[in-house]
Amino acid sequence: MSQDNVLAVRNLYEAFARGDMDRFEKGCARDILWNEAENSLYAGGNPYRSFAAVRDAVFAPILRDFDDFRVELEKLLDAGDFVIGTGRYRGRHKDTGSELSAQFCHVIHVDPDGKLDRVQEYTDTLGEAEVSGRLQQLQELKIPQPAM
Amino acid sequence: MSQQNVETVRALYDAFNRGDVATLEKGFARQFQRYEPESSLYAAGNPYRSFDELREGVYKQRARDFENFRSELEEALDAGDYVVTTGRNRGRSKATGKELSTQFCHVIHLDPDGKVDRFQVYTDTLKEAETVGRLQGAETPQARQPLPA
Repeated sequence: MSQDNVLAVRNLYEAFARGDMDRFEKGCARDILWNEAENSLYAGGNPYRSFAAVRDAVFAPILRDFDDFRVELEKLLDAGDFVIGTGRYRGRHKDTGSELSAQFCHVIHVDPDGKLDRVQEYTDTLGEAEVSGRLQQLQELKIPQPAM
Repeated sequence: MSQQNVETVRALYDAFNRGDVATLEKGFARQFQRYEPESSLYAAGNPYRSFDELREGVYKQRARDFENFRSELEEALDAGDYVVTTGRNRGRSKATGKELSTQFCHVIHLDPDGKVDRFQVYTDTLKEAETVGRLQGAETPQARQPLPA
C-alpha cells in the first residue's frame, strides 16, 4: 500500500517537471493543507488549502521568478501514510541572475485514496533569500550597523 | 525493526534536550556523516564524521550562541532504515536576546545495529541567522541594476 504512495508522489514530481498541472491537481485531495517552509519565498499565503491556491501563489511565482526552475529529487522515502522527498531546487533567478541550488525536504501525507492531503516543505531559506535578492531587501530594512 | 529505530531516535532527542551527551553519543555509530543545512550557522564543518567533530563544531558552537537551546519533536516517522523527524528548534540568542523558533526536519539513517550513521538537517536558515544577528555577515546577492533615470 505505502509503496503505492511512493509511486503516487513520484508521479506528481514528474507531472510538475513537465508542467502538467492538470495531472498534479488530480493527485491532490480537495481539502489539501500545504505549508511552504516558514520564511521561504512563497510562504506568504501559508497555509494553502487548495491546489488552486498552491498553483497561483507558489508554482506560478516560482516559474515567474526563475528561469529553468526544476526540482531535482534525490530520495523518496516510504513512511507508510507519509512519503518524504529530498533533493535540490535549481534555476536562475530572473532579477539577480544568480543560480539557485537549495536543499529541500518535503514531508507529504497521502490519504487512503492515494491523494496528497498534507504537504510541509523545508528548505534552505537563507540560500533562497540570497539568490532572489530578498536578503538584500531584508538588510535594507534593518538599521545599518556602524563600520568597525 | 524499524519501529525500534523510531524509539531509538526519540530517546536521542530526549537525551539531547536534557543535555545527556553520553547517551546521545552512544546512539551514533563511531563513524557517520552528519550534514547541517548548507547555509546554516554550523555548516562550516560539513560533513561531521565523528561525535567529537559534531560536539565541537555544532553543539558547543550552538551553546555559545543560544541559551536553553532545544529541539522540540513533533513527529518521528518510520521509514524503514530511516527515521524522519520534524519539529521546532527553540532557544534564546545570547547576542540579541531574541527567541529562536525555527522549523526543522531531520532525515536520519540507522545502521543494522540501530546506530545513527547518516543525519541530514533541514531548517529555517534565514530565521536562524536573523535571530542571532548575523544577517550582515551573510554573503549578499549581486548588486542590482540601478533604476533608469
